[in-house]
Amino acid sequence: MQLKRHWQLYVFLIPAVVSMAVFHYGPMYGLILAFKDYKPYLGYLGSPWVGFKNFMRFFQSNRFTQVMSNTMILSAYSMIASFPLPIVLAVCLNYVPSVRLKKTVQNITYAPHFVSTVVVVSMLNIFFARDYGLVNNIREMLGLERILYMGSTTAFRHLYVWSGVWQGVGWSSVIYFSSLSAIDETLHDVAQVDGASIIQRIRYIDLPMLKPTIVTLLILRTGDLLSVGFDKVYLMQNSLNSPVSEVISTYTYSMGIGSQQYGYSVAIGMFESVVNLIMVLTVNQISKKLSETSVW
Amino acid sequence: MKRRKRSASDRVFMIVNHMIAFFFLIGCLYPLWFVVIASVSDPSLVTSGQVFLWPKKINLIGYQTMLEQKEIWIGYKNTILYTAVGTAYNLCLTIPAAYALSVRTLPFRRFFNMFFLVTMFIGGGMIPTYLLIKNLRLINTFWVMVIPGGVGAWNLILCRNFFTENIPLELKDATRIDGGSEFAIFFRVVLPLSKAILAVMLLFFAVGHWNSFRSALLYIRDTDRYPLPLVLRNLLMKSTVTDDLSSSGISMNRLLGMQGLKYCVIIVASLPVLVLYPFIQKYFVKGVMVGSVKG
Amino acid sequence: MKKNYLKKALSVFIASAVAVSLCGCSSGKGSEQTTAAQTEEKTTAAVSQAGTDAQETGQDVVNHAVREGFPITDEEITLVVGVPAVNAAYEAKWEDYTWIKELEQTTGVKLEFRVYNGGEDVSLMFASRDYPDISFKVGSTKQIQDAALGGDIYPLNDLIDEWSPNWKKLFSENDMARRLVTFDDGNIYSLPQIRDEPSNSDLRDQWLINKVWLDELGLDVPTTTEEYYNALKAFKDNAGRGSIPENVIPLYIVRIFQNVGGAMDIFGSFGVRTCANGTVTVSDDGKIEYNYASDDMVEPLLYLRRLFEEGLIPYDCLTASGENYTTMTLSEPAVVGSYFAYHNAHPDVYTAIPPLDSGNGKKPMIRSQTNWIVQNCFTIYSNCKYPEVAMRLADTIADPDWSVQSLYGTFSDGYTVKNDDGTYLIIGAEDEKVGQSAPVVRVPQLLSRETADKLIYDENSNQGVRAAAVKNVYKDYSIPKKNLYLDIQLTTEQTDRVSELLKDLNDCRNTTVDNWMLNGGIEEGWDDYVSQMKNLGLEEYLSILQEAYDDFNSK
Repeated sequence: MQLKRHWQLYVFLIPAVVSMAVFHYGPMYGLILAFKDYKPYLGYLGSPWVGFKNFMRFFQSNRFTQVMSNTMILSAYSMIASFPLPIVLAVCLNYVPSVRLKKTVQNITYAPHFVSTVVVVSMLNIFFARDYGLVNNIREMLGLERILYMGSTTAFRHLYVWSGVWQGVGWSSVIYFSSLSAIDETLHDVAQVDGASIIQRIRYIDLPMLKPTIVTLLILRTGDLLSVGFDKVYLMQNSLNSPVSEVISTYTYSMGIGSQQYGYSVAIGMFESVVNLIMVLTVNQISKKLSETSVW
Repeated sequence: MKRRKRSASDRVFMIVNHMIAFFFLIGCLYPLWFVVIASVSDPSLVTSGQVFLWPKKINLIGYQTMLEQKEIWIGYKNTILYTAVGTAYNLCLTIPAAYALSVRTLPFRRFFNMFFLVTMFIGGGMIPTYLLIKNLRLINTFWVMVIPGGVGAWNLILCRNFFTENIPLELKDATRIDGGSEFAIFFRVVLPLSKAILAVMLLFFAVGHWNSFRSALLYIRDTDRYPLPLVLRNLLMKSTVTDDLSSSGISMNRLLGMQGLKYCVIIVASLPVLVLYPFIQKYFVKGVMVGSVKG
Repeated sequence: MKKNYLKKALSVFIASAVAVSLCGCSSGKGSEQTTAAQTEEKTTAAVSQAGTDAQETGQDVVNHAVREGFPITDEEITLVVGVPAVNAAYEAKWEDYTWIKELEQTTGVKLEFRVYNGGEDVSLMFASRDYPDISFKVGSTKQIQDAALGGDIYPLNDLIDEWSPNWKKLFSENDMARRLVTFDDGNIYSLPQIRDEPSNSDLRDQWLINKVWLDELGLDVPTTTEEYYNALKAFKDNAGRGSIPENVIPLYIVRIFQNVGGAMDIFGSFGVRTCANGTVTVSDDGKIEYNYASDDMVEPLLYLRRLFEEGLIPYDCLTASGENYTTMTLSEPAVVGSYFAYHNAHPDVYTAIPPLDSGNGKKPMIRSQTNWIVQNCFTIYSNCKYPEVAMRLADTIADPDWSVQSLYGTFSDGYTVKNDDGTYLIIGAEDEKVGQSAPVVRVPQLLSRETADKLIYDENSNQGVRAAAVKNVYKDYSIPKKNLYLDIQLTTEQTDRVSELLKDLNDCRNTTVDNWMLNGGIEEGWDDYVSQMKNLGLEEYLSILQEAYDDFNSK
């Protein structure tokens, strides 16, 4: 009986497993390139081994410390700023009595997700321009000095992160909306009868319901510590902010590593993956201890 | 006495709550409004910060240029196809697998969870993947946009969580006792109760396909098969002056006209996914579970 | 019972894991070997076949290639061509260009295009050895070097001798070009693009100033840096009067060191030699020089800083993008007093001025370009079955008629006219549809100086205005060819090292100079900057280039 049931579950599972095995695990032999000086004509096996040379080259490069810390700070800041807001949005909207307002806000906040990076950066350039930008015009009206935001090392991270929040908040809240909708309405009814305030209902009904989703997403998000996307940083980058805006992806791009130095680029990618994986495993372990939630 | 106090705190909450909602609304709305007015204004005025509340020197050159681009419409058609077929394939692969992983008694559950999770962080890299796809004869085909990304680990995990948390064990047990197979449980009990997550998965996968250009960039060499995002990327990324362009004798005025184009294409390109959301929202209805448990 | 079950499960797991890894390995390894083997086979087969055909028969048709006349093949042949992506907004798809259609018709070769967007897809093409038959302008020197080592690319020397009189003639006349494209092993693996056209290569950017405003203010066209400064100041002081708008920008640049529209020609006015499309220049006695860290830079930097400080250049220019540059400088009515640009799009408003006299006794100069030759523009891969036909195709493109049309639009579309005396009338490319007619700079043209001298530009066209400016305004100032550092081939190790060093040096230079522009402190910070550049390996960088340069000259 048990076996038969499991046999059926495996039927559900196998197609996904096969797909992953073929398209993800299949090509993983390519990781050996990190330890090789890959020459296409010598192939994977024929290319000479170089040990950890590719890794060492990255670790010992002038920029290693700078690039690593920039990447981690940007990524961590981005996570801290962008993670809680979608939850706030979802929980708040859940208590808005007007269905119309609720849907309007949902639909509007969802839209920025589809504005392409090129346009977002153009808008930043326009709004935050020093001599004619909206923000600086307001500053001037308030009697403050004009600031070259786009070339400022302090402003770069804020601009990057908060424009990201703007783009992502509505989109990321979709999953929480769906979870909230699964809450048994009778729980709320009972709580109301018992005289619980809204805050208490949020605390004791909504949040516990959202907790597994929140924890899972948080754990997975920590696994992006070293992956800061290329496009937006690259478009926002200039020589004035480059001391803080140079991240791993822009660094490898500007050196043409991806296009010409195969082994080196695989090594950098592998280093990223390993760090990310370690992060996830550690955070998951911590979460298991603290909240008894684990991604696997 | 006690009652009045409670409602006072609730009233404060409701006020704050509405303020937060309006804050999000305005914060998101203004930049969107800007995209709209920028799409019909003179590009020089837009970049020099003179357009902020209402359009200036209204013109429709951007839209006109866009309508002339048959590449955009071919891309549109392709993307709709990739999205429709791709999303269906994703759902067929991911949802049943997520259900299987949500059954706690499944042998090797932990192993399979890890198996999927690892793929989120470690991949083999571009070259071996390319060789694989080439050997499967998928290069430059419709299917290369569908098959390789069949399972999304992230979505799989979210979906699995939903099943674990929200499908009452009693319900499944009841069906089991009635002699129902796992298939029966999945189709008759789990799926009807999971409309919310199914809607979300549909949305996530569909939007993923709608915005994706990377596989096309790597595996599609025939411009007639380009999806919309890749067409737009080429259009937008290359509309600035490069060495090549400036010495090629392309009319600079043409280039100027291009600058307004990007705001227009954003609007046209995202319209279908914007209208998708309200349909999805319908499934975020409360109390579905209650009825079924009672029934 | 339980144990048994576990055991069974474990074995299933192991089996599946092994299967997965095996499947992964074998697919990779297998494909690797087959590709390598296949290519090798094909290469040898094709080469030997071509060889025997030519030797034994000695006829006019070798491997479907007809020696003379058109069509160039004895039956319709399809060649797969790797090409860079075009921008759909103002260019046709590759197969839709009139020029391509006519080329196909004339040569009898059907071209099938594989479009590469540049970057990752190109590197995949080389890394996975999944090549088209031929390519136009795809791949870097390093990628081609590596592929040639693996025998993936046809050496072209013999093919040129036998099948391409146009290229043969060029290489015999232009020794520089021949040496530039010849690899260490003595072979030519890629044909370049030659555009030895003074109106293009003798100048990078025209220095434009708003003549209308100067006239309104009763000012002469400035000839010295001080007069220029005063003119800019006058623009600013008279904002809102006459046709000068309230929000006037006296001088617009896109960052300092940007090749297009940057401020580098201001350095030239102070006698500092800089280079377009590159970082270093060559001194008169053959030394490689990096002038951005030479003491001569202090004076122009101070001048630039003054312009920033007094609001004559907006600080926004330090972070500007190409988009800002295009919209600002082309705005109608004009808001910019002066800027640098390849084309003068509004000759009725702006006039080109020569580099200014700084009064420091050094001769003012203006940047010229090295792009009279662009390498790696035509490559035949070893999986091409008809290398002779491919070479004849390249020869056809290299023909003056075809080359002129590829750049400026076809005769049939009315963009160019061939006169009876052999000269060409260039009607002008301002027409928005010219991009539908010809692929412009993306094919391996051969526009020798001899052909370029036969071009007559419509004087109202952008290129005509530019040609006139190059001839009348900039002739005596443009940096001569001998001072330019061309794209000399480095070994792959050198390429890697140079890209690493150059990245550090450029970043340090850009960040330091931009901060000076924003906050001042040039004189105080100069020595620090110079020593920092030394620490970053300026000398090593120069010595690598010097070595390559000396080697090249001794060839």
